Amino acid sequence: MKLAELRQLTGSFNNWQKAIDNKELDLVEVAESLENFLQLVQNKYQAFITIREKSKILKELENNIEKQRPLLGWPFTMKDIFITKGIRTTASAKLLQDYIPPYSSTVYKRLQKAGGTLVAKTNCDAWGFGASTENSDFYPSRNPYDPTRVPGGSSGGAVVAVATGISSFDISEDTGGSIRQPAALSGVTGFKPTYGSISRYGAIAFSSSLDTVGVIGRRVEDIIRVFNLVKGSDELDATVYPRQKPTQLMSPNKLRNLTIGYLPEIMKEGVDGEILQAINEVKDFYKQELGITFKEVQLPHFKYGVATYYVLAPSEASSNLSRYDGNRYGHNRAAFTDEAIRRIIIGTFSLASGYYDAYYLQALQVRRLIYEDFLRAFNSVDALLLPTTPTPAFKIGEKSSDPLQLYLQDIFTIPASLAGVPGISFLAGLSNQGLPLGLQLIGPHFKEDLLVSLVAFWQEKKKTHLVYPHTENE
Amino acid sequence: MNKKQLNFQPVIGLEIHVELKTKAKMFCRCSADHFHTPPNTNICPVCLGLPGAMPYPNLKALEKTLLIAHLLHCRINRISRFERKHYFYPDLPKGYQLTQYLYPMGYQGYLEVEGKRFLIRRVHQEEDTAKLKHQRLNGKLVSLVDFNRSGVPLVEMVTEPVFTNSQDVVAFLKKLQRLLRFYEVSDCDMEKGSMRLEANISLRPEGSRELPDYKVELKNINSFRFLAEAMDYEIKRQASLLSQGRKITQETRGYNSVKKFTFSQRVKEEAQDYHYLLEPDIPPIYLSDEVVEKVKRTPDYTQLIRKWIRLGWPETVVDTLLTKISQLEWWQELETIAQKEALNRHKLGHFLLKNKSKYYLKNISELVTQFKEDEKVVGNVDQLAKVVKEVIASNPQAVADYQKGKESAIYFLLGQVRYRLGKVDVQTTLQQLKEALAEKSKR
Repeated sequence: MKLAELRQLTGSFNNWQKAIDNKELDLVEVAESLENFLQLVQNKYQAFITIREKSKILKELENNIEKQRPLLGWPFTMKDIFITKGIRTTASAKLLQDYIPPYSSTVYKRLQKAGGTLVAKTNCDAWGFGASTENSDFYPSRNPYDPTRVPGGSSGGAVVAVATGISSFDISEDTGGSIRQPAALSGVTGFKPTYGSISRYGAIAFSSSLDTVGVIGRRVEDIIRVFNLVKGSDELDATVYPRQKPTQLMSPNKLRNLTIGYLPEIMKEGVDGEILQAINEVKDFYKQELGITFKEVQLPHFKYGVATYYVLAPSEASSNLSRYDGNRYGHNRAAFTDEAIRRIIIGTFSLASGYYDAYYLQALQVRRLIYEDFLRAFNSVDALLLPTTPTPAFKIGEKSSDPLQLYLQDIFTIPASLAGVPGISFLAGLSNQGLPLGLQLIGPHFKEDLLVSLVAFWQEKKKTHLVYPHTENE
Repeated sequence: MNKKQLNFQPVIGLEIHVELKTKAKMFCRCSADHFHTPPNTNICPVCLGLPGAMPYPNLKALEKTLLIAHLLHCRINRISRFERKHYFYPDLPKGYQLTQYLYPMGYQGYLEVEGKRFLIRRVHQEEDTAKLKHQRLNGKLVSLVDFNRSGVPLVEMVTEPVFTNSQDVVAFLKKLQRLLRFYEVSDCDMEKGSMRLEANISLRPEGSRELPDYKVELKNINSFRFLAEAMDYEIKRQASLLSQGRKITQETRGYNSVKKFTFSQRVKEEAQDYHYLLEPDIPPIYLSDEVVEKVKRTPDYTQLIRKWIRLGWPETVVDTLLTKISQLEWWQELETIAQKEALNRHKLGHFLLKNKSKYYLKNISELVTQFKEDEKVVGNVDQLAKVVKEVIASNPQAVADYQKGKESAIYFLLGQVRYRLGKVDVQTTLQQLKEALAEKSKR
C-alpha cells in the first residue's frame, strides 16, 4: 500500500468504514504499510517514542473490526504522557525511560473499548515542558513541511503523525497550547475542549488545573466522533464535568448571523504579516458565506497570560514532579533535564512561604481576571478568532537558547487555558514558503458545538484538511 | 524538689491523629483495613502515587470527620478543600500528603471534661502515609514499605495550649477516645496506631500569660500512662534547666517507658516549609444541608448516658457496657422488657455486668429468665437488706475492724449473711454490706 492510499484511510473515518464495508481492506497489508511508514516517519521526523510491533497492531485490527466497535480498528497514536498498561510510557523524559505501567489511563481504556488501534506513542517535550519538542529527553521531532524547523510542542510527535497521515488522530494534552500550537505549525486540526471534559486519569500530570485532554486530527467530524467516545464522567477523576451532552455539528443555517470577536489590540506587534492576512481572509470568508458579523473586543488582561502561566504552571509542575524522588522508576533526580529543573525551581520558589502571596497567589488572582475577561467578551460575541501562534514554524535551535522567546510562542494559546474555555486550531493555508498558517477559534465553556461547526464549514469549502506535506519515498 | 521549680507553669497543647473506620481509603477504593493484611495487597495506582493517578475523595470519610468536628462543638467549614503538603519521605509516594490546611473541617471548638472546658483549635481531614518497616532481610538491614496504610483516612485534632498538668491531659484523652469509639468513627487503638498522640509542652513563669518562646514535642508514645509519665518527666526536666538559667532546645522527644526518661529524637530549630498548594485535582466539596443536618441530629453522648441512669440503670453498668451507639437498640429492647415485667434495673444491670460475656448484646429473654432464676435464690431485696442490718448490728468487732481499714473483715460479715440466708448473690451482698457500713460510719 502506498502512503497516498494509507492517507485515504486515516484521513477520513468514512473512507475507513467504506473500505471495511466493501471488504476492500486487507488488514495484513494495512499493518505492513503502517509498520513501514511509521518507521519512515520516525527516521525522517523522530515523531515516536515507542512504535508497537506489527503483530500486535494486526491482532488488534482484526479484533476491533470483528466486534463492530465504533472505531472499527481505526489506527491512532497517543502522546507519550498517557499511561498505557504494558506499553512503555515515558512522558519523553529519561527519568521514566524504563517505565512500563501496570494500569491504563481512562482515555486509553475508552478508546480500546471503542475499537481504536494504538500504533505508536508520540514524542513530546519532556513532561510537556516546551513549545517545540526540542525539550524531549530523547530527540527533537521535525516539522513535516520543513525538517529543519520545529513541529511545535509540546505535542510535536503527535502533529507529525497526523500531518504525515500515519495516524488517524492523536490523543493529546494541552496545558498552555500544547495541542493548538503544534497543530498550527504542522498544518493539522488541534482541538482543546473545555477543561474537565475528558478524564485526566492516567495522564502524567504537568499542571493539573490547566491540563486538558484533547484530540489532534484532520476533519472535525472525525475529531468529534473521537471526542464523544472519550469524554464524560469518570469515577477516577473528580474534575470531570458530569452532565455533558454529545457534541454535534450544527447546520450552516444555525451559524448564520453569529457574531465573532477579534482582538486587534493583541495583534499590533510581533505577528507575522501572512498570519494577519490569513485572519482577514478567514474573516471575509465567514462574512460572505454565512453573514457573520465581526466585532472588535477587548480582553484587557490577555497580555498578562504568559506571565501568569509561568508562575502557576511551574508551581503545580514542581508539586506533580515531586513523586519522582529517586526511590522508584529506576532513575534518580539527576535524570531531570534543564527545562524541568528550571520549572521545579521557579515553582518551588513561588510556593515558598514568604513568596507565595507575591507570586502564586497573585497569579491566581490575575487568572481570575483573565477568566472574567473571557466571560465578559462572550456576553457580546459567540466566539473569538485569533492567531494560534505569532509566526509560522521556526528553525530548530533558533529559540532553544532563550527560554523566554520560546515561552512567548504560547502568547495566544495560554489565555484560553487559564480560563478553561475550549479552543480549536485549524489550517487556514500555507505561507509563501510553504509553511502551515494556523488560526484558532475560542468559545465559551462547553460550547464546542459552535467551534467545530465553524471549522467544519471552512473545511467543507476550503478542503484544508486534505493538505499533506510532501513526504519522500511515497 | 527544688523550690524554684514551683515557680513555673506547664503549657501543654495536644495533636491527636485518629484513623477513621471506613471501608475504603480516603482517595481511592482500596480497602482501608491494613491490620493483619499481607503487605502491599490493598493498593492501586492512586495510593501508590503512580504517574497519572488522581485522587477521588471518599465522602463517607468526610462525613465522619464532620461528625467529629460536631462532637467537639466546632464551627464548621461548609466548603471542603484539600491542600498538598510537600515533604520527601519514603512513606509518602506522591511527595506530598493531602490535608486540609486553610479550610479545616472544624475550628474553634471545645470538649468538656469533668466540668472543665478545653479549647479545640481545629479538626481536619487528611490521609495516612505508608508504613515503613526497618528489619534484617537475608542478613542485610533494609527498610521495607507497606502501602496498605497509604491513603487511609486520618483525622487530626489540635487543641489550644490549654492544659497545665498531665492529669487533665489524660482525662481529656480518655473522654475523647470514649466519644470517638462510642460514635464508631475510629477504633482509637493506640497499640495498632489508629490513635496517635503528640503533646507540645513548655514552661512559663507562674502568673505569665504569654506563650513560651520554645516548645518540646513529645511523640511516638502509645499509651495514656506513658504520655502522662513523659509529660511529668518533661516538666521536671525543663523546670530544672530553666532554674539553672539554661535555654531549652526546640525538639521532638520520645519516651523510654522502661527506664522512665525522655530523649531527643530530632531537633527542630525552624519551621519546615511545606509549600502548601491547593489540590487542583479535587474541586471544592460543598457539604449539603442534608448532610450537616443529619450530623447535627446526632444524639448527645452525655444526655444519652444520663437518660439510662435516670431510668434506674446503675452508672457503673452504663459506663462500662454502653460503649457504642449501635448498642442502643439492644438497650432499648431491654428497657422495654424491664418496664413491662417491672424488673429492678439496678439489680438487672449488675447481673448483666457480672455476666456480660454470656448475655450482653445477646438474647434478651435468656438474660431475663436467668436473672429471675437467680433472684429467686437470692430472695427479695428487703429480706437481704434486713439481714445485712442485723449482721452488722450483731458483729460490732468485725465492723470496727473494717472501719479501721481491715477490709477482709467484710468477708466475715458476708459469711454471716450467708449463714442466715443460704445461697446469696455475692456481689449484691457485698455491695449492700459496703453501703450499710458506709452509712454507719457516717453517723
